[in-house]
Amino acid sequence: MQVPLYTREGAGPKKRLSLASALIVCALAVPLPVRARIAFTFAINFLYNHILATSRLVLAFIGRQLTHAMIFLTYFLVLGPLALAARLLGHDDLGAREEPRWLSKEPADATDERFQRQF
Amino acid sequence: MLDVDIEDPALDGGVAHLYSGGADSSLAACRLAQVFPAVHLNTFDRFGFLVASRFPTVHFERMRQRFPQTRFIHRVIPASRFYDEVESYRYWGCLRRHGLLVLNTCGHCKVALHWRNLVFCLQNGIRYASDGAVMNAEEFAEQNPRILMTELEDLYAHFGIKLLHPSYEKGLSTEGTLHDLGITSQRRIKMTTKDLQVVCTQHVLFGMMMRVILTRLSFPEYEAAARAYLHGKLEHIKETTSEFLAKPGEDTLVARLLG
Repeated sequence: MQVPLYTREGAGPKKRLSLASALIVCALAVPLPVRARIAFTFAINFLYNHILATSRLVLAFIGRQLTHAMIFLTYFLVLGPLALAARLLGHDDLGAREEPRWLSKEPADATDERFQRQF
Repeated sequence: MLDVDIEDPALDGGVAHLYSGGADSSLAACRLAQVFPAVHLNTFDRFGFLVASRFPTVHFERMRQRFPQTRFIHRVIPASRFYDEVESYRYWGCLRRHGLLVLNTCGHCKVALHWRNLVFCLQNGIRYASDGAVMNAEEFAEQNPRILMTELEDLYAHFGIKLLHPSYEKGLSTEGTLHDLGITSQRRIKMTTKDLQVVCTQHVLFGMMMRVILTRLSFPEYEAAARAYLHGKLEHIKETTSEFLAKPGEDTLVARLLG
């Protein structure tokens, strides 16, 4: 059922998110002793007044941690198992198992056309 | 303009005015200065307030020049313990009975500051008190006649003191009137850098409480609930202050709060 949320008669409906945030703040504040509650409101004030800057800091921190986690997971869950599977299947793309030897190389293309298209 | 008998000899004792330094309380102080020979500008400080010493003095010098016949005495009085007592008095019982109204920080604050002002009046033999209440700020208990205004008047009256609201007038522009009196340099100061007064950080909690409560109650229902809740606090104040007066020099609650 849709419940209209009004702050005062004639005022616009409150968003559910703002009501939820108010409920959370009140629930956190109720069990605190007086001075702790006042200190808590200092923190809430700071957060609300600097919400953009605070969220940038928090998101930057989360982003850094997430990057580390993604690199870790990619290495151990993707690259590592793939390399092990390839090894089990006998792949040796780098020729690491072969005896060291000189490899023959095609002579360099020294034509004018190659000179025009170096890359 | 003020509801006082100008023949009353108690006027000579002056008036104890709750003074934040803002437009409303400054205009109230100016109006008091037209009647009282001495105006005690009591700025209360407590944990959670940001009170810069220069804030309440911005208009102070101009008021002294504008009303040279009146003696303005400015004080900063600590009131943290009074606030703690008001807020924590029967806290869990009140939470059970009145719900989230226990987070009515602005109501607690004004009750505590008026309590400290009342004690100041009793200690100094002052028979008149005053605040900067204005119209159209009815969400604040002390500026709402259906919540706390009359209750506060009754509290002061119980101790033989008359509480005045010099700025409480329909259609009054406190900023404009203050500017016309030559106290401020511009017509609009509220919410500007010129609005240098006591700043409180607990408004946010009061706002959150109102946001939650007004989803369940209409505004008149909120007024009735807030009045019932704060009435209990005022009764406690009346009782403990009477004990303080009855037992001078003894270790009463008010004596301990005064430190």
